[in-house]
Amino acid sequence: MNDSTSRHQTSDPILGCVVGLLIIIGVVMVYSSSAVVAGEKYNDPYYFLKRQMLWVFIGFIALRITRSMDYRLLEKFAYPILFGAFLLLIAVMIPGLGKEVGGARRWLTLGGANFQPSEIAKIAIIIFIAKSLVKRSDQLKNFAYGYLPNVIVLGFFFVPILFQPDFGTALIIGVVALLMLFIAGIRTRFLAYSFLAVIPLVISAVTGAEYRMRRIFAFLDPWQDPSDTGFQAIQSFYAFGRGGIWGVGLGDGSQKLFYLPEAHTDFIFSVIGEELGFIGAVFIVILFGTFIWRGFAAALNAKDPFGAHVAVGITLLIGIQAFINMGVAIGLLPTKGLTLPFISMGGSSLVVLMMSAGVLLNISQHPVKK
Amino acid sequence: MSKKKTASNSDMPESFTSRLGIIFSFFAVFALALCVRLSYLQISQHDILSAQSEKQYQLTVKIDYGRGQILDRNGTPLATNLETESIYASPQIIFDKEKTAQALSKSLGLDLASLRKKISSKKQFVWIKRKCTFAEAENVRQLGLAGINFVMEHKRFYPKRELASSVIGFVGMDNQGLSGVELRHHSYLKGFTQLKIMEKDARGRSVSSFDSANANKGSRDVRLTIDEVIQFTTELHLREQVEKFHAKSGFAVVMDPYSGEILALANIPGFNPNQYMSYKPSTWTNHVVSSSYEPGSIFKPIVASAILDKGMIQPEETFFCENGSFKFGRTYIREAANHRFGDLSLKEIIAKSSNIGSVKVAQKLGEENFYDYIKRFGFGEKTGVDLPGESGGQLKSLEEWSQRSIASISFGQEIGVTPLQMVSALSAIANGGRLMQPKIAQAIMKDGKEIKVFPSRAIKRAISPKASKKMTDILKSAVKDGTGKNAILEGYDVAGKTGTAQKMDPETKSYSETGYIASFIGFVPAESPRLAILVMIDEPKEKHWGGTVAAPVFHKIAKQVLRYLNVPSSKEQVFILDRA
Repeated sequence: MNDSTSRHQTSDPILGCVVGLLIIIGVVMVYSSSAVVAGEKYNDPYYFLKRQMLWVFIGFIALRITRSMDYRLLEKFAYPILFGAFLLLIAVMIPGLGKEVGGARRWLTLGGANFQPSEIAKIAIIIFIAKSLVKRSDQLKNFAYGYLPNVIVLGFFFVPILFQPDFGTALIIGVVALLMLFIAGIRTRFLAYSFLAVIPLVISAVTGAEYRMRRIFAFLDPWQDPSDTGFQAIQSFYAFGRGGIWGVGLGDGSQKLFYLPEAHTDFIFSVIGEELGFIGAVFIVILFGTFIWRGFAAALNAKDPFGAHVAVGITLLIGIQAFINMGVAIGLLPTKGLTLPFISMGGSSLVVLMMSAGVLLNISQHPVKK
Repeated sequence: MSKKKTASNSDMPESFTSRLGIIFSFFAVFALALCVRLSYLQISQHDILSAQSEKQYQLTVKIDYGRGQILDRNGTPLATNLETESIYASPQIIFDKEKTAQALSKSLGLDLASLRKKISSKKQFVWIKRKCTFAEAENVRQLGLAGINFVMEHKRFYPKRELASSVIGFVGMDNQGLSGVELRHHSYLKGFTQLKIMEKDARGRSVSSFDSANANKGSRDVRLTIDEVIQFTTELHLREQVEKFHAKSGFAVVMDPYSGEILALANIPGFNPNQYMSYKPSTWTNHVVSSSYEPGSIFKPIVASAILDKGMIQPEETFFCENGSFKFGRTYIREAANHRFGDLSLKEIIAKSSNIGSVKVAQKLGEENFYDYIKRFGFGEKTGVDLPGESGGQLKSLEEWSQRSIASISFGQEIGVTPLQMVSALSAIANGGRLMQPKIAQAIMKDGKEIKVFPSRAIKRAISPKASKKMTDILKSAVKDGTGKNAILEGYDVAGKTGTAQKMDPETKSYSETGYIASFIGFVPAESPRLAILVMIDEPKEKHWGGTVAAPVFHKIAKQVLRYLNVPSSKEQVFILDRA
């Protein structure tokens, strides 16, 4: 719209530094935690490093684009994006297209690369909710017009996601959407009702699948069954314990070798805890805390309500994922297959994350002080 | 959080900032919780968790290393150890499980499916193949597979192969005693060592080492009463005769009658304990202690000893032997080979092995006395020898005796005795009347020194020395003038008794016309016996008389063993006396 002025604006430097640091730490830790395994498995210690760097490169280009484009385009194309994301989720359900990994069909293969449509769905929902909130800003106290349409769209998305099944993503999307609505000023009552309505569903979903039950029991008492379900949790505790205050040193961790499953993805925080110690782990917590702080600040300072809502959504999405991942690694939450944003080894998901970060940086832009 | 509110989003509701603040404080609280939990795990639990994680990098596997040797009475090893390599896997550090399983399957010839299963297991340690040949270990080493490692183990080795195999027994894969002395004296023999396996370097190579502090902590040797030379001689002559008469099997025991020490114990056919799995399990049985047989005529000395000990007859008293047919109850008792004897003295009854005579003696003795002496000689109960799987034989209690039992038992039917019980009873007659407990282990040794000696033990007195002396005279004449002439030794007086027992046909429950056990029991020199010997040959073909089939084996064994033990013959004694 006003391209000439935005060129003289600068995005939040703290937010930019935080994202940059997280990505750099990610590249280093992915290499540290995967080198031995990659060497044994692929005869190339740099196997995962190379891939991570490639995705960071692609992600960086995506970030540059989303940071400098006019984010209002997202508002304009909110419905096509939403529809496209929904179609991709449906495509996963089609046996020939969706790729099944470990009993769950979550992936689409596109030009040799796998990606999860649910990653795009997360962003699409955030954009949709933001647009919806702007559109209905004067009806937020109205259940039927202000609240219900959002929940109906959410419900439509839950069907293919739970079909995969991907309980974790459904939970994240639901929490992020509801928190966006809450912050935007929806009546707390509406949220409370939906919450009460969802509880039985959550309980049946948790108790319905045995592996979810076991995950939860393992979290409550990992020592009960150290050879099976509780194994991951215990190995993660060992990693943190071994790290002590200062860590055993970058690259010198032992737990990542054979004991921590998915050391370069789901349990990368444990590797950080072992190699960089309490100091390193707390630094990561602080980085994500800062990210949330600056993300919310961007929302408060946003030029328009749509930007504010999108900023809230993206901050919540990344912040919640990060805190859940860290909470799982140190045994505060049940084991959940979530990655640590920006840090964990990731392919297309990293690109989506960096795109989101670009949007957030874009929103954080404000005129340079005169 | 930034509190300043810019004009740009003034169209946001009032609650936006406050609700954002609420959510942000949730994050802040959770971030604080993360830090608290991190400080708990990383600072206060640092030592405990580090120690626990170290433990899982180290794995301790119990391996029986340095199992004690089994030695003969002169210290010759009968069971010892060989160093061999075993291959194990640490499944957690094997990445390419399929490739590893296939490579191992190919070079060791093991089942691929079971290897896959082993390598995919969640354990930190699984055996792939234990106690490999040198070539097998070398082939696998050449493959250089990650997570596949080697450890030295001790494999049991029996240098004398079949020799005394039924006594020594054998061990399983973990060197656990499974039979014989290996089983019975396992608590002394078992080695003790822990193997420490440590995942040492980042490439997942494991390093294993013995816990040197515990090495050789066990390792005590067992010295047997068996004499390798006597054992060899016994097995040699027994095997010769078993083969010559195409017999099913043969047993022999050589015992020191005074101490109960078993100098030789042979089961033919035996097995090679180095490859016991390739023999039929039935060949592993030590029949001398575990199986009982109807003894037949070799049991007659028991009834004779009893009546002598009781003093119920005069030396010249005779028994009328009914001219070979004695109606006893509803059945007739006849003599072997249809002999017809008239009046026989006790000595003649034994020498000629008269069935009717034995019955008459038993009748005179009476059921109760007879039963009492059977028990005194140790029949019907285990001898207590230190070998596993001992049978007590079959002796009916007095209440179970039928009217005919006293007659049948008097010539060795209707009673089951183990060859070891028989030779113990014989030793009691030989040694002046004391029933000795047979023994196979003489001492426990450590570093060549005796740390425990098993003393000889008299169980009870069977008969008086006087009765023993009289019985010896009778048994001497049974050899010299009776059925045992083939046992006569030049220069030594032999006391002995032949036996030819018809085997009970398990199907018809009647005595077989073709299946016999030919046996001979005897001791030598008769006046101060050094050896009590039993020979039993099971189902010899063509000939079946104890005097023909079993007595010659006694003769050959006794002759060589007496010379080996430098037992002076009567000629030598005369020579010595002349010099004096």
